[in-house]
Amino acid sequence: MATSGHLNVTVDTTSSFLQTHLPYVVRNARMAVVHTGTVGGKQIELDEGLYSVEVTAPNGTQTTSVVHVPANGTARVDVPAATADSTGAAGIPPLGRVDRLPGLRLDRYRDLELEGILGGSPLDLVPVPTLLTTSDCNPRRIDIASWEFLPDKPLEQVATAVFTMGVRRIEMSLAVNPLPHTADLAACRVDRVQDPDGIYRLRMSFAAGRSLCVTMDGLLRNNSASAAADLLENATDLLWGKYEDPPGAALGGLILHGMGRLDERADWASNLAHSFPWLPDGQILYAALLMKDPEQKKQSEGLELLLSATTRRPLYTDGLSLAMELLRRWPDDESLPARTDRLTYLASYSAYADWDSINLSVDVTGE
Amino acid sequence: MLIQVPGVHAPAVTHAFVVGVSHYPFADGPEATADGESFEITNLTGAAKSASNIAAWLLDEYRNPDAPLATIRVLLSPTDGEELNPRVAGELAGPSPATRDSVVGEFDEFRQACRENPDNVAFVYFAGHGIQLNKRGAVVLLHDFGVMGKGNKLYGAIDVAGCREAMDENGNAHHQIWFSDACRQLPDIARKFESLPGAYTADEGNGQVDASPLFLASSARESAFAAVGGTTIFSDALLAALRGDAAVGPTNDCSDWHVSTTSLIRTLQRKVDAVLAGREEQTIDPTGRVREMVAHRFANPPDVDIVVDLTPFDATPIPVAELLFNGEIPLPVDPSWPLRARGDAGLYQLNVTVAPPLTKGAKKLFQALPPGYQHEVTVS
Repeated sequence: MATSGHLNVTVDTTSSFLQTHLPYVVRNARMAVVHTGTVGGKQIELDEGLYSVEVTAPNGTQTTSVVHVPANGTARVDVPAATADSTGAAGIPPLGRVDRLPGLRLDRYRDLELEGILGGSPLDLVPVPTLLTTSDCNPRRIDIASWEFLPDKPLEQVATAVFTMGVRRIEMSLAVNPLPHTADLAACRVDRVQDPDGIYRLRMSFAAGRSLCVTMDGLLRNNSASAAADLLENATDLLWGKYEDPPGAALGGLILHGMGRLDERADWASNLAHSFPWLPDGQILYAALLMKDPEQKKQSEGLELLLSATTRRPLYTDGLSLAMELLRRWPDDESLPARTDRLTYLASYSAYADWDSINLSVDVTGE
Repeated sequence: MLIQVPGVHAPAVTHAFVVGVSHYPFADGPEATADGESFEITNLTGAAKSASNIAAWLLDEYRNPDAPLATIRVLLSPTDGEELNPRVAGELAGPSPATRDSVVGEFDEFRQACRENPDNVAFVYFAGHGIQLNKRGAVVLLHDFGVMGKGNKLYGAIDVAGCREAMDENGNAHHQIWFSDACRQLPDIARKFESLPGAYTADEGNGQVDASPLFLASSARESAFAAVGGTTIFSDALLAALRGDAAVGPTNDCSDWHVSTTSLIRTLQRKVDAVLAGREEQTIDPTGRVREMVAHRFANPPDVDIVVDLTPFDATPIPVAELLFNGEIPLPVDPSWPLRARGDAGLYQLNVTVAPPLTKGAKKLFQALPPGYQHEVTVS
């Protein structure tokens, strides 16, 4: 007769929401799912044996632990605070403001020909980014390859920054939030990061205080959004309501729309679209819902919103993608010239966009 | 061209639609038109072959007891000398080029067949030159891209995301899975396409289905699309995933080991990255109605190869390993290192005991999943 024990799953995070909403899946030794739940809940009873426990960590990564649940005992899985949380802006001393830096500086980048003659030094292999200009936000340099950005109030368009790195010149939309009173809930940052394949990139991330945004960002980067759909729905509601973070809510909305889970949230999308005209992604989202509305009047409203939103730069790469697909397929022949005009405008972003980036990041070297 | 699987009389079935275009006669070669040439498209080397491999997998390996494969509609435009999968070539009565007319005709019939029962499953794969690629959409160029006299420059193209959207409708196959395996044009060329209308897309239906994920594979350039004379990197990754690399254990919704939406999302990018090893980039974006569904079911749990290296590799006396499935069922292992074993996918406990002068053995819990497990243990 099988004897049983218990399993307890917790995560180390300061977010009270994440302490109880991160999903986990328990599989037995034959990898059959025996339990799904959220962390921080009651411990569960299982037959003695080996189990794998897959938990969505606060930074959106999936961590898997194999544990032995002992007879009459308790196995614990404690997911530590993830690295993404520790790279946030909080606690990093200010190094002086770097506003609208003039001109292009020579960067250090890899010179293969010289390396062939002289041999490369480790420093020479690493491109050093330079911030050239900003728009609608204020930068604060954190270190040689990192900046934090805070919004100018009120925002009239999506904040942007232009960087050089190596021979490339990159313009990024920045997900700063103009609403909160504390920097840690308003800021985003840009860091030079190295991909697993060794390529250096500039990557935007959310300030540590925007913990739900950090989680969503990580879920996207780790291709794990589909495993955390309920979490995303709840997080998006919280970002819209409690945390007053429209850029975060728009990201959640785009993810949910991509999963076919936004259809029941037309009121929410309408509010996002109309309350924050500086954020085209919200209007694009609402237009996507209105395109499917059986009422002609609603469809017309959606088209108007879409045509208006697509005269401006989106915040997210996915917002750009959705806008282009809507422009291409809007069921209205009369608007074709206007839609074609907008597509031509957006093509200036899409042709040179970094499609791996969550925020819109465009190579403007040729401009 | 329709390939009908004999002897399938189940109420719910799987219908597949597979298109691969390597040959672009109106864009590259002696028949090229001014329009076609202006987009600087060259013939591809592996799109049709890749599509034929996917079709062959469907015919010979696809398994879904709830909806067995009933039909595949296959349209292939290989270049001269491109060898199609013989299994599929044998099923086709002759050439079946993926022209716009043939794609539209077959797609209409495919859509109707899928609509016959909401419990049906739809499987769709396109490979070829891609334009208007973003994280949500892709237009794939067809055999007659660049043909003159059709009124618009994208006459010979299909909006894959638009067709998916059209089939995301009440009453259609409630589980659909779509793949677009496309070679992205260089930015200056791509920009010419963005505002062009005219690619084929089906009329949108009302409502929605349960799940209809679309995996958009977009190669940065042709060298990341396919090796010369080979098959596309994405198709190779997809077949490896479907053959077991993306296998996951039973769930509440599926009592067999299977490949699911989520497991494909997790596996495909990893496999493509592994093949490209940083030399090129290829992104895979899941879009559409990204909900969990079963893409393929396995008759038996997969076996996995387990390899465990010893550190230090020359430790003496030789440490003794005991490998236990679920911590209780021993697997036979050779006394030498590295430890090699083959067993069911699942959870294992490895105990390594040592004798003096060694004092510290090892105990390790691990999950061995397809395609295999390799790790190391340290003794001292």
